[in-house]
Amino acid sequence: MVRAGVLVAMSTGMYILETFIPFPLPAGRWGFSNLPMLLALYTLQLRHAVAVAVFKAFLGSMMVGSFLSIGFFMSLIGGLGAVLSMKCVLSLLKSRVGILGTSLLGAFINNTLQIAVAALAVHSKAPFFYYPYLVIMGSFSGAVNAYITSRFLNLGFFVYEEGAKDGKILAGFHNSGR
Amino acid sequence: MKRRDSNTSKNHGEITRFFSPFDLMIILMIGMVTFVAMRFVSTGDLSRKVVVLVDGEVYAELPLDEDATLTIMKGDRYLSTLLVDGERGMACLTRSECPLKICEKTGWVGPGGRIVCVPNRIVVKVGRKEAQLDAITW
Repeated sequence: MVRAGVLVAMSTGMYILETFIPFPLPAGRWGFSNLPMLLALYTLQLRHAVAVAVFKAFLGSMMVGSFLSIGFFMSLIGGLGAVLSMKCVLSLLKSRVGILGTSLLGAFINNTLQIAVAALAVHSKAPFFYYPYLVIMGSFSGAVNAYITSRFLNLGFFVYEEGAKDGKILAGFHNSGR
Repeated sequence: MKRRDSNTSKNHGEITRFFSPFDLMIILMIGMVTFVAMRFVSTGDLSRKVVVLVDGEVYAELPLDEDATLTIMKGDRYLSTLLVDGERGMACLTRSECPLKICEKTGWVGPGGRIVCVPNRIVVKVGRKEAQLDAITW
């Protein structure tokens, strides 16, 4: 629970910071706030990852000032779709699929759903004009997220240690080589 | 609740792989879906026109060769202003009534371009030039 809360806080903070980072397309953001989502999926359970996605959309949009706007629904539906699709792939294929593939699939589903919500909102397929560019940018940040996640996992960060009380786990890099 | 987080400790023994051959299939699939979606969308009209859609319906059609200023209203609510630069053949939205001003940041858009203002449900399409060479394959 504590770890899920920390991931929610990380995600929301990154979501807010991301609005200040320039992005080559007029709409959209880099998507690095999905890194905690990926971490939650790999180190916690499905409900924690869903919580990260939902709370990120709620808290982030409240801070940025787009609560209940279409941007909020794009974020919420995209995030939920990404978490569920990544979970499906992970539980279907287990360790046959790597972090990179999972992350790229999540980014792709996220982008697709966001564009679809935008297209529904404007009653036109014009938002799909940005689709290929968005997928390319999303794949880039998805790959970066996957790399950071794999580094975290290999360090043993956030790994549940038998006998440790919940909350103590944040004490550090348990299996780290440092 | 803390104890039965059993599958969270799975990373103790095996290290989750960063990349596996199966990922290539996912990447290929993403590429294919994007490519097919692109084909669907890029059936643009070939006329030199600026088309403004509000709520998915055609609000106005302007020629791209003349300077123009169009105030976009919905009922008596002001939404945005469309500028057309006839000399350069480009269009843009200014003074939009929306929170994030994404449509304004899109800036000037030339033939084949789109401006989308999601909060106001405005779509501006700029028609292509007569002959697009990249549409022909031999």
